[in-house]
Amino acid sequence: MSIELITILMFGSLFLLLALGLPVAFACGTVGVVFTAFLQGPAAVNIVPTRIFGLMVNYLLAAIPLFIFMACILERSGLIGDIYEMVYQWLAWLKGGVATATIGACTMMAAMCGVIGASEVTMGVIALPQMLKRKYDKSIACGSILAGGTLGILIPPSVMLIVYGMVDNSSIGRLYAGAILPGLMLATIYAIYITIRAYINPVLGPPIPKEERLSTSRKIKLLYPIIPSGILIFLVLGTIYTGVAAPTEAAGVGAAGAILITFMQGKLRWNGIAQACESTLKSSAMVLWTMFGANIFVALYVMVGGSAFVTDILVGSGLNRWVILWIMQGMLIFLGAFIDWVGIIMLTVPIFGPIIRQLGFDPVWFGVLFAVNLQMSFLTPPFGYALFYLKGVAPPEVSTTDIWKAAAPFIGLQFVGLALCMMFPEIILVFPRLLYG
Amino acid sequence: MDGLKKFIMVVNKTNVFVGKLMVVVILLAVFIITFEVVMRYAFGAPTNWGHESMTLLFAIFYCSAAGYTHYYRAHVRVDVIYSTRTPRTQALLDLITSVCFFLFVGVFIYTSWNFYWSSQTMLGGGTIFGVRVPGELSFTDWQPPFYPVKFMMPFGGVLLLLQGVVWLIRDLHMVVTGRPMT
Repeated sequence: MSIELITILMFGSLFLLLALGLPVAFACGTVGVVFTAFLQGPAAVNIVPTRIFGLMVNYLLAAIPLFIFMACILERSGLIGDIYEMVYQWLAWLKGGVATATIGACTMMAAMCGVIGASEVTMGVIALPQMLKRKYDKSIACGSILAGGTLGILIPPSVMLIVYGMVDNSSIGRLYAGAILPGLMLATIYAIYITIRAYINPVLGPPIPKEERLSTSRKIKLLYPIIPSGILIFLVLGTIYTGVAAPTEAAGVGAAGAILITFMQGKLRWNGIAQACESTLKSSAMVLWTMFGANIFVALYVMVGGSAFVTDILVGSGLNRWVILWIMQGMLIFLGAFIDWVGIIMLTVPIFGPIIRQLGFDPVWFGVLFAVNLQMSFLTPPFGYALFYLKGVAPPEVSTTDIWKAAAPFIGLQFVGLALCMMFPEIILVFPRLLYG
Repeated sequence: MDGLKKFIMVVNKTNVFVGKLMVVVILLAVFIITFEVVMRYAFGAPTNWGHESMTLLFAIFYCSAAGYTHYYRAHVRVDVIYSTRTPRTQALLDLITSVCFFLFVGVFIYTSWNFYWSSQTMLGGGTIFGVRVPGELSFTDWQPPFYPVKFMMPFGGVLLLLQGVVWLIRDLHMVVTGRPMT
């Protein structure tokens, strides 16, 4: 069978099953298994448990449940609320300040969490009612939470970059270093956008009335949560960057640190821990099984020559390498609207990775670009995690359409961020060079 | 009908129970990695089992939690056509795609059982914690046996399969009667 036909049949049946609503893990797994039996003989199916076992006992991947657990614990620690309270009082004078404070608090949270769920849900519960009460425009209010929360999976520690680094065989430390500046840049872009809109039309985001603002001494007291957060960020990121600990160890220490912080905040309850574990269970099993299924699919596709086929089409087309890069980015944006990020990484990185190296681009740079690009996937309907999370906790007067509309301008800003990272590669590359030479 | 309901209840309860057990596994893994890090960096006395036992605990948890996750239908889907349909049409779509689900899970259980069995019966073996164990050992200093972890693959597969049967029954009920099963 020719590789063209195999490509059409494999991806055609995969997309059909996905559209019919079969979970990504099982859709990829089924197509992978059927085509393995078909193309390589029924006995070849015995490779399936070997592949899955390889992922199961992967030391690096153990960081995924640990980081998810850490975020689930922090969600219940009360720390997010304290951080929000602090940023919000300090920005009280600013028009649109409550929304900008949301971005600021989300950015701080992002440096402690590797997933988006924790800040998306908590900010939806704490910050959204605040903004609605203060008559903030719905699209600014929801948009700031959507976009801010999504930073969690870009700014290190990031679960997405761990999966990327594992699949692409690139250094997690370098990827983490590369993602710092793009993350902060996106946060700044969001804040500038909100502020400009609020200054043009103050009705969209009025500043907090003078009588509700705290005195400077009270504000300084509010700075307290910086201490535990700072320690936690140092424990996790400091140890990775200085090369003292592997990401998995850092994640484990971060999880223990999160429990300790919750304890010091007086919020540690057995029930809360059990709930955190249960949501860790669901989220990690979902991520891992998607990896299992997608790995069976893509490993077969690469083995029968799919990777070489795509490389031939893209590289052999004779197009400028930047055009090819933009084609890839377009494909990722498209896929991001429909498939979750784990599936996208598993399905595309084994194919794109070699192409990027052949075109002479820096793999670390591309990895971070990939993560910046996938920021959009959380906000693009119909499939966007952030949209679901926020809808799940938003008050009833906020409709799904409101949330989709709120996401639109921020998707545009994320695209601007992506374009900037592509035009000025230094934004990504400067930290890896400083830290690793 | 009562028999079916009983079956559903038993499977649901089993998966929820396994989920609760895994809570302990997660906490244990967090404890082990923290202990390992403290021993290594504070006391300069790293263990030879910390990292590997944590990884193996997580491997056990990924497998066992598949059914638990499916109980909540938390395995991520693509919402292009599916999410905007009525519950009855969704049930119908689920019935159609369940053929693929069972095919995949069936192949997974069958192949991973062989995978596990060949690991347990492999020539080799050794002692761990003073206990003699058969089969394939890990290539590390600690040398734990792999077969208990590999056994979790068919085990987790069966839990996933049973939960799939539960959803099949419920979807069938939904398609036929248009009401969810109580």
